Amino acid sequence: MPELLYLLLVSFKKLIMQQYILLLFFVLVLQTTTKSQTVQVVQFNELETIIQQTAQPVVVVNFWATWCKPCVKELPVFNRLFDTISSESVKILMVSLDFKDDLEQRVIPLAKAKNIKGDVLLLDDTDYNSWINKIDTNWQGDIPYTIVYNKTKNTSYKHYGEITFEKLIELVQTDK
Amino acid sequence: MKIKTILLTAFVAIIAVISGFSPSDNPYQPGDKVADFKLKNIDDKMVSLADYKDAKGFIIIFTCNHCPYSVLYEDRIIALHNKYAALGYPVIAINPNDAVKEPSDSFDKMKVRAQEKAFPFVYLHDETQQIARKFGAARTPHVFIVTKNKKDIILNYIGAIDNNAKEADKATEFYVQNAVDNLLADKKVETNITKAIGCTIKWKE
Repeated sequence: MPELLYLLLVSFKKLIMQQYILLLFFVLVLQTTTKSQTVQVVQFNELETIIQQTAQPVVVVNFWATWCKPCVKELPVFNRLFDTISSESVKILMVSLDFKDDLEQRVIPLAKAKNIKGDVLLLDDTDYNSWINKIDTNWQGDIPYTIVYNKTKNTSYKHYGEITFEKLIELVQTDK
Repeated sequence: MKIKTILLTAFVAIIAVISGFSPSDNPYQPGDKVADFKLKNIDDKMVSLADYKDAKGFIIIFTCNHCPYSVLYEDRIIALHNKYAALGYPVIAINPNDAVKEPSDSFDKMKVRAQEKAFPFVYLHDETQQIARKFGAARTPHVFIVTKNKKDIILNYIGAIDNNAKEADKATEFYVQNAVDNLLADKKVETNITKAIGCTIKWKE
């Protein structure tokens, strides 16, 4: 009788262990798949610092918002760039201009749904007139807007409105 | 002598034609004279700035039905008209968007929105988008304040309404109000260009 009980206990323990390992595995997988969907909320000076301090020589910054139809339509273009060029060469920052209140309800879900591969930031700096000119004095504040910084050449390339993959890769790889 | 006159006339004619091209390449800047226009209002009547004999100037606002920023500013635009129309600066709202690209900005939808919000100002349809191009409108909402000066209409301010789109009561800089107050006091506008985030204008393909 004790042997039976012993066997029962051992198999029960095994089962628990297996379930535990399975759970652990599931949690880990979940971590890695959801990791890219964290959204960092920043003020403008923090965004400037991030751009300045990235290791990559080229930084692509796209200003977008969940409510901006043309912005959402062009998200795959940036994902394609992510898949095409090594992330050691190009840093992609997808800067959302959604309001901070909409982070949980709109930004995170959409970033997940569209599987945005670049870094998603929410720029919570609503005094737009104080920073738009710091990005580009010719930018009138309409989105989508993309700026490509080339640190090696200490120059930047601006694109107003929707961008195609062909144009984006051109700005990233240009020798001019 | 004859040939010279012909050549001179031809030269002048060419220059005149060229300067008439691509108004969007040289949009109005503060200090420029602006041309009057004639656009259809939501009551189906045509409206020109010249219709306003008693106005001192105008708060021209390119805006639309669908853009979240335009919607956030609607009440403030109504308030601007209610305050400044009586003082000589009525609001002239203009929707420049292509209804093919953005069906919610059709002329019929403009009528609906104007009725829903009881707009006290005219809401004009820039069907050809020519006026938007002349002014260099780049987003919605986008404000252009003009002042009458004898027979001319001078542009005095380009930009945003205030510095907080989301929360009116958190705004600390009231750009349009300050500009109009300056103009009403016959003073130069202190801050005559400001910027804000907004939706792109839906240009026709």
